[in-house]
Amino acid sequence: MGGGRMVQQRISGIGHWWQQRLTAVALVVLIGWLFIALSTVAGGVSSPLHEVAKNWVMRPFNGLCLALMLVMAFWHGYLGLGTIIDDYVHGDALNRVCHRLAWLWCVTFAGLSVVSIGFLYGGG
Amino acid sequence: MATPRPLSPHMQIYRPQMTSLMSISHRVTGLSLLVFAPVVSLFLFLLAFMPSGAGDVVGWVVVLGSNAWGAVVLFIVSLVAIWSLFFHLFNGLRYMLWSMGWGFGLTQAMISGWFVLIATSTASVIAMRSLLVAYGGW
Repeated sequence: MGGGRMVQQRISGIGHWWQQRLTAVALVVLIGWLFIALSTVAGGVSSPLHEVAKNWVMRPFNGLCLALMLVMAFWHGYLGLGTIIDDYVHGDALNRVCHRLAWLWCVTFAGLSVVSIGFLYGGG
Repeated sequence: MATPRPLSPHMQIYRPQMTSLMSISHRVTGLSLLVFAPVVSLFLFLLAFMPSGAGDVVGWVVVLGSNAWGAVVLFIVSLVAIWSLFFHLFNGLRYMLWSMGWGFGLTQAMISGWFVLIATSTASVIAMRSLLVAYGGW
């Protein structure tokens, strides 16, 4: 792991490896939960989908797990995207720009998810 | 600048193998998920701050699905999203086992690779089926 170029990525090799694995384990559990939880709603949907979805997210445990899942997903995605960028984007300046964009993309949508779920928590 | 990272193998002159194909697919499905996950975020944003907008979006999807070609597009997009999720999930589990030192042999990697492909296909078919059943129920 040593000797990587680490232009923008200031996470050390070991730290990166562990973050990748820990977020992966968390995602296996959370996605497993998501499928079980969704399969209980899937049958007999009568009211409009967006209302069903809203009521589902507003239940505290669902909202908490969904927020956690999306944060873990974008964190995991940022780490993976960083690895792909370092493998294929070789110019120093362009590499740095790509890392910035990857960070912006993941933080924006993770933040959007948390803020939205938090707002729904407060009663919409 | 520190030592540059080694260049990935040139795909054109490299014979496709289970290990390399699964590896590149893991990256491609990971990228695909980074495109699909924001759809969930944006829908949550609408649910929270513009509930009527969320209703509109659901309505547009229903309209799109009522058109024959629109239904094909919806089917393919859903399949890509679902396939990406299951492939990345199952192949990720395979890599976790590798990280723990299990299944690193060539034969084991072959078997686990096929196992991932079969599990992904099975799970995708089940998920697509329940999606279609739920869609028909609306």
